[in-house]
Amino acid sequence: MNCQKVENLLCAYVEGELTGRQGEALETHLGQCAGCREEAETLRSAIALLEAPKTMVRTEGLLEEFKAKYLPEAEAVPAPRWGIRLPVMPRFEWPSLSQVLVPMGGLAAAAAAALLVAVHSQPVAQRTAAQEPGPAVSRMAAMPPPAEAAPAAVASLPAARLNVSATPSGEKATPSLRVSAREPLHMRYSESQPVIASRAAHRRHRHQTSAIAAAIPPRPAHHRRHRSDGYQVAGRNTPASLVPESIWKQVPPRHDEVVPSPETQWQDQVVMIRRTATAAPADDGYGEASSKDLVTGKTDKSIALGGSPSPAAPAGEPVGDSGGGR
Amino acid sequence: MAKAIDTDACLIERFARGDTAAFDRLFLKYQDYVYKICLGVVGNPEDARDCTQETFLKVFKNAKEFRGQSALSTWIYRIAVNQCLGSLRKKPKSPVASLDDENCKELPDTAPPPWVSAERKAEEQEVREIMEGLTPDYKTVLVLRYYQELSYEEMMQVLGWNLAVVKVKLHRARQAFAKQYAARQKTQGAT
Repeated sequence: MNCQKVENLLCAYVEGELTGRQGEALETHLGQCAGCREEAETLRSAIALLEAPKTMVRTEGLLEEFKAKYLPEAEAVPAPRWGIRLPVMPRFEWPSLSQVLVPMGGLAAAAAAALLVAVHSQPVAQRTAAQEPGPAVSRMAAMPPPAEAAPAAVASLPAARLNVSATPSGEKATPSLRVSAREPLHMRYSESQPVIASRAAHRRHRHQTSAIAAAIPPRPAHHRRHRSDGYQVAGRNTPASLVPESIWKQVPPRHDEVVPSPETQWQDQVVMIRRTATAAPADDGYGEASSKDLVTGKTDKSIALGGSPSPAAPAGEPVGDSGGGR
Repeated sequence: MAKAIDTDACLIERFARGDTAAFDRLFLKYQDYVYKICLGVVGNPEDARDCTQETFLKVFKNAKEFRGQSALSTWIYRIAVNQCLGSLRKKPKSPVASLDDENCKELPDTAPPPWVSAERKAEEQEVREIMEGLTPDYKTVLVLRYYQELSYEEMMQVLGWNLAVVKVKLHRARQAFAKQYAARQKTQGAT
């Protein structure tokens, strides 16, 4: 055993923690090495100094001093079960835009549609004013009132978000109105209720706050598009023609799946069938486009720009066949 | 019966229910231990008194947080150690107090004979001066081991370290203490 190793083991030896063969080897080394022996003696006396009984210290009056100095401050802080417990106030959540728009959903949609259509159609109307008998303003005036234009089915969906756009396509384009309902992007972070978010919102927030995203539970199995039990739940991108009527209804969850509570269920339901198809532009460019409310199955030509409502349009007619599109 | 009432669990439970007398009993029971730790780590009686009171203030405020997973003494020692280390970080170094200080005098009933007391005073002053040259970690482990006579397991709980770290720190603290002690002996021998 060399001096370096002895130096490392000396403390344990002095404390009496070193026994057996190592202890014997160290004692042998100490008998031969005067430097290590002296070091061991120093260490022993130092530890004896540390282990010496300590003089009792005076702590009299410490409690009184503590009470006078700190107790008013300490009692100001709510001590355990002291004072009044304030009730926990419910957390206020700002409503999403879609929720605000719900009561006036149809009206807002129609108003926005009218505004956009007016903006987009004005140049076209000016261009075609010389060729057509009536001024553009008359076509605009021929539009039904906004309340009628709004699809009732959209208004009935509480969390529907309305996307309104008017797209002129080409010279003889038909500014068409497409009203689609999107999945609500409303996210809630509450301790009392499970966090349920749409996939899009999840994906967006995951990049922003990874910690929050990590806390979001996975999407319930019965909300997934591909299910092992043979059901297929349509998504936003599923063509309306491929969605059978049975899928519109609530697909029953499997027996082993967690059913969301009624108050949170509406947030995560798959909202995919609410797209209204737009017919291809007719030859004259106006008035032939129609839309179909896919929930009610009712074809509504009245929301197409410039076209007079067609009383002969049968309800439930397939999309694309009623509007004269080819 | 009285013994059962005075157990730590009973005292902390009574205090959590709002019985301030239970806190007084806790304070009186642990004030000497806490003060000894504070004095050993901080080195100054005034600062040690402040640290002791701050420790009990934290006990007072956080009594409901105590879940009984460790002994109450361990919890209080841990608060005291953290309080002292925080105090050392915040405050500049103050000179080591003499044992003749008013706060460091022996209690009359436990005071040893005068000749022993003088010798012990000198030794304790020496220990305190040596400890002043050590790092806070080393001071803490030495105080817990030799002032409070805690076992390795108790030190693990108080310091929140594992056994290997406690042993290594204690070993190095002893070595550092012995080194300073040897240097001090050499200078005293030279003079």
